[in-house]
Amino acid sequence: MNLIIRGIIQVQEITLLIWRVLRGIFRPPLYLREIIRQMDVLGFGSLTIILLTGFFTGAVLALNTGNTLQKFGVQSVSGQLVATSLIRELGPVLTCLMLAGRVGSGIAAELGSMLVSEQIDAMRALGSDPIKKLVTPRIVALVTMAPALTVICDMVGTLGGLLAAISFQGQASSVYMSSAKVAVTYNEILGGLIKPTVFGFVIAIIGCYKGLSTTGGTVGVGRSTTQSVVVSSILIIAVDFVLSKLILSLLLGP
Amino acid sequence: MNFTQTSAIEFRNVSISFDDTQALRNVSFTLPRGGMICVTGDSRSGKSVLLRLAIGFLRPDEGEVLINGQDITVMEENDLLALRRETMGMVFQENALFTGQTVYENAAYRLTDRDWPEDKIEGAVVEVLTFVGLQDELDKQAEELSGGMKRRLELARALIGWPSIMLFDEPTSGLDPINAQHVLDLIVRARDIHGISSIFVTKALHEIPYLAKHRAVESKAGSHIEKISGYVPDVRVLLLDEGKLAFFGSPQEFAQSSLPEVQHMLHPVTEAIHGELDVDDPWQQNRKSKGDLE
Repeated sequence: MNLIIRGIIQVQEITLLIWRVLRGIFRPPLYLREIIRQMDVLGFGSLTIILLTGFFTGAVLALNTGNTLQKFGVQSVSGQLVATSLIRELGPVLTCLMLAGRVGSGIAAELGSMLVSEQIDAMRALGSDPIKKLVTPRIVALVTMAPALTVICDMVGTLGGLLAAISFQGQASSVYMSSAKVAVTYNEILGGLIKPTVFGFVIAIIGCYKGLSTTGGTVGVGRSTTQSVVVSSILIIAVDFVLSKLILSLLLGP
Repeated sequence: MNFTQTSAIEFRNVSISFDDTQALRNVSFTLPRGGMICVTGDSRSGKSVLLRLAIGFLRPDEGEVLINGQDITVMEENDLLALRRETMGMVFQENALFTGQTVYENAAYRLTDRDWPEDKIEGAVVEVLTFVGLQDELDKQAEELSGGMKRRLELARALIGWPSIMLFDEPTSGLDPINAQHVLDLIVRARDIHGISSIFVTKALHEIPYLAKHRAVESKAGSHIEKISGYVPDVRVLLLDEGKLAFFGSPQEFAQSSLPEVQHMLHPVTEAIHGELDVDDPWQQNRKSKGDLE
């Protein structure tokens, strides 16, 4: 019973946090410099792991599906399979799971440490709103950078698939690329961008909430960090199911 | 309302509870402009709660807290932030400097946040860091400073822009005597030269007469601290005992008071010794056995 009540209270607190972010998002001071700094730290700083994740995911996808496609004599659609899988599902989900691990945990740890060392109280004492100064820039940064990183992941993944198809299945690059182009439709791309935008918001809000609700000193910071990764990863996968259903119904048709 | 005649801080019948514990009970006092109240009391007597109410981090269950005549208990969060930004500063008990930022960035925080022009910020930072003696450490990271320097940087960060009200939450705790006195001297300078009204929370009772008997004097060569024969006017002592205001008066009256709560604060050792005598001696048996053997 306590678990249910605690869960309801947490949902209320997260809703309140979202409301406070939205209410103050266009109210000065806008902290544009801080937003750009967070875009650099959270977004550009994650580029390497996203490049590696995307490349090897695309390559392994081409590798694993190549033989099966060959059995049915449709190896020529390998490019389409890789590109569709990446744009619709693997690109957004893997990119954002990586971000949840790298960035969500970092946000929770940073804000949690600031809270337990009274830095957030000091900020309030100096007249700054911690929500505007700490939470809003991180949310804006992740909501904008997660789709950008996903696009990069999709592109690098398709390239990884191409290299695997050429190297291990002897496929012609022109066949692979012309097949991949079929997958790149306007609606596919739109659907593939909606997901990371929502996931980016989830990662940032959970990271900030867990950080700002830290209790129990340095041990509590560790606990918040772990919870941030676990909760945002589960939410990404759950929200992905809902969004996939909606995107399939509304954008991509039956 | 004549702004100059209002008090800096006023508590009117303030009470606040946390769960079943009443942290403050019906506390009332007034801090006049330019004055200083030294708040003391045992652990968990409500000292830090009082400061957190004064800066608006907590809202009382009952009563009013007035800053410059404005009741902050009914103020919107944005108005409260603006009031703090313009008129208040606070030095925390623990080291609450912004990690990952330089000495300059820490000191400049309040002004950067208010979008001051860079040249004005630089002038104000140099002025306040010179005031606390950290003018040569501008580019150091806050984490690289020693304990005393960190505390002085906290003072500088709170004092930049010279707010009219300062709250000090045990600012000398954890410092060696030399650094502690340096911090006290800076507080005296802030009070006497810049006319800052302040609440100073301390458990170290010897700091109260130091603050009450020393004055900062400006001269052509700068400013210096001098001991005076009497007491600095407008310095008051406020003693909290389990959330109740047990004493409020001048440092002289505090030193001469026969109130049991004051006596307990002034002579806490006797009780501690009695408490010690009641403790069972776990080694007694061992000693007896050893004696028996001998």
